[in-house]
Amino acid sequence: MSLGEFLTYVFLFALLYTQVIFLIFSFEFDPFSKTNKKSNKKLPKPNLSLSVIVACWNEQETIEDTLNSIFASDFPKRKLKVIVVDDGSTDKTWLKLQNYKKRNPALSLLTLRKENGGKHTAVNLALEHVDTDLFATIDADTKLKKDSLKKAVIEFEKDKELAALGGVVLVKDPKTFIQKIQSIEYQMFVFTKYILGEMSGALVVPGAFSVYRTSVMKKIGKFKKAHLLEDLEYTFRMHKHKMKVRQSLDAISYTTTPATVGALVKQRVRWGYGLLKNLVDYKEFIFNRKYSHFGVFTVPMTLLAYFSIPISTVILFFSLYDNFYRLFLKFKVLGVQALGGIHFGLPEININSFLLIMLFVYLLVILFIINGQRIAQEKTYFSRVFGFFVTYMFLTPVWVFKVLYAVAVSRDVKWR
Amino acid sequence: MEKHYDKYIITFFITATIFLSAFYISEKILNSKIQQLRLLHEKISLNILSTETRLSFLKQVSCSAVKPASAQELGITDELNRMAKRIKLLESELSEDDENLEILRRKYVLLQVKDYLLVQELAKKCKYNIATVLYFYTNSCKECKEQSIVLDEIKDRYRYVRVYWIDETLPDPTVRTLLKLFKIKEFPALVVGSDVYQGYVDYEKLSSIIERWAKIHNALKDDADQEVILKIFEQLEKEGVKEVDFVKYENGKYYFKADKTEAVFTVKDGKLKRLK
Repeated sequence: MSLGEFLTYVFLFALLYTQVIFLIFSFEFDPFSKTNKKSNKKLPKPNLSLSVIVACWNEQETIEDTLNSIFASDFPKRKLKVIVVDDGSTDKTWLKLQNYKKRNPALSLLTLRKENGGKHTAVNLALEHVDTDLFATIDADTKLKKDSLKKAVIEFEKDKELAALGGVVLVKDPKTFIQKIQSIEYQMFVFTKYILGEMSGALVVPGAFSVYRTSVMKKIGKFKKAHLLEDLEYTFRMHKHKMKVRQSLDAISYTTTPATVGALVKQRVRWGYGLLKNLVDYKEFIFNRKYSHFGVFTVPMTLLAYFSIPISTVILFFSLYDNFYRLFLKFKVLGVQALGGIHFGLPEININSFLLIMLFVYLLVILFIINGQRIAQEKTYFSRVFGFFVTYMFLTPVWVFKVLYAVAVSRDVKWR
Repeated sequence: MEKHYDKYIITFFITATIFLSAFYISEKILNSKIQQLRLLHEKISLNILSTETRLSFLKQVSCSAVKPASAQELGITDELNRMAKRIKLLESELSEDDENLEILRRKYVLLQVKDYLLVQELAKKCKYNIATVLYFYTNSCKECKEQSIVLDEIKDRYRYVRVYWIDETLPDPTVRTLLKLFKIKEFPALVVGSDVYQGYVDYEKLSSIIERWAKIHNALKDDADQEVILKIFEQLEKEGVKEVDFVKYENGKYYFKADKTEAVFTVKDGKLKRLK
């Protein structure tokens, strides 16, 4: 066995291992029994008060929708306060906010305006005005389901130790192909993030929609710039202080996602860069039993998962290399005539152990996607699942490469 | 909260089981492929033995009794092609120096050479029309991969063409003999009929070579002289005719089509004479 083959097997083993971990823990923390029980029971009224923070920068198109969805929530109005911070928008966001306030004078809505300074500064400014038991952060392009706030807050009442709860984030009306395949990815995360949360190993409480206990802020401070991934860093800091972080199953939000390949790559470069940079800052987590499953599993798994798609693409390509190369040569030698010679039907593909193991990994991923769809009660589109696999296979290497380059030259990426 | 660290160990065993099963299954598939190859080899040997046996009767009976009814009967064709395909697939799965593969490849080359000789003999004695293409290649030669594709395509296009794949690097004395016989020094190399081409021959060129061969040899059916037809072809081509076609042979006259005009030749006192 050559070194390359040996390393490939080690990689495949690790990849399969992480997928099986999710499977095994899903038997322990069965997400389906929970959702079923909950939906049959009427929710009690929450006693804790809540501030919802919306930081926005040039969001004139979506801000009203977001505010509407918050105020339409069935969360008791007298316990709800909304704080919107305009982080130096250059469009009509501020005007729209003032109009909204004028039209709805009865609502408890506080609007603040400041010089542009990045999302974390906007959220931090809002935090100075928080006097409730809990606070939530919601992106200005994200909508909430009617019962999401209530469901999230009730978790804090049931679990007195809970410091933060990640909301379920799904894709808001996917229109373009890129948005449709992202909806599959987000559905998969519904399942895997829940399992991680129950293992006390949640990677990130997403900035798009999450709820925190206000006492957390008093203990560990406010948000930092954190390489433009302030939500990830905040979660890391909570883990460092051994706080309890979990992931919700039913507090659902819908966020706007990049509509084009270029925008998606840009977003993922920002995420990847922030992830790697923050992991460098918190490298003590890696395989550290002090941080329980978060250190032993989540952080190493995330690193592996981050590089797994580009590596699997390479492995898959090499195991099918002969077939591809022959096709390429055929076109080179015969030109258009090669088209007539392509025999439709099953090609004779070499079945080797690489392919069989990859197939198993893919099957598990599909299982996780279907689980996520069932939990979030979203429709199943197999064409989107297929599109997700194929597109990500080729797109992920692009942004991973860009991130590695950015990390190597240590150049900060742009927020938007 | 419970720690559940035991799950990491359980997962390790489950993952290892899946891993080993994958190895086991791929090994099984590989073995069955080798088994199938062995069976194919048996089948081809049997067909060749049958043809050889009939050929040894040639002195006593006429050609029509010996000549295979169809190309399929002559051993090779489908079976040899299938064997070639399987060996090519196995090559990418097994390492180059795998013993199983080495033996199979040698057997394959010997079977091919045997078939080649049989076809040659049948052609000589019974005017059996199959265009033989000996193809010499090495795995290290860059143009050979492209040449292989060209040959695959040619073989599919012309039913009367039979390609023999001979790996120059095989440690078999038969291969050396063939290389010496055709004085081959450069790869890829092709031997079409009795003409040797060294270096890459592209699809267009090889097609025209094969078609020319076919035009000449179709004449054989009518008891015409192959040498004469070849000479006429050469002469017309020298005169600058682009499209030469043999039409028929009748009463000692050779009818040709040369760029849409008719040309008629005959042989008098061993010399070629143009009548029209």
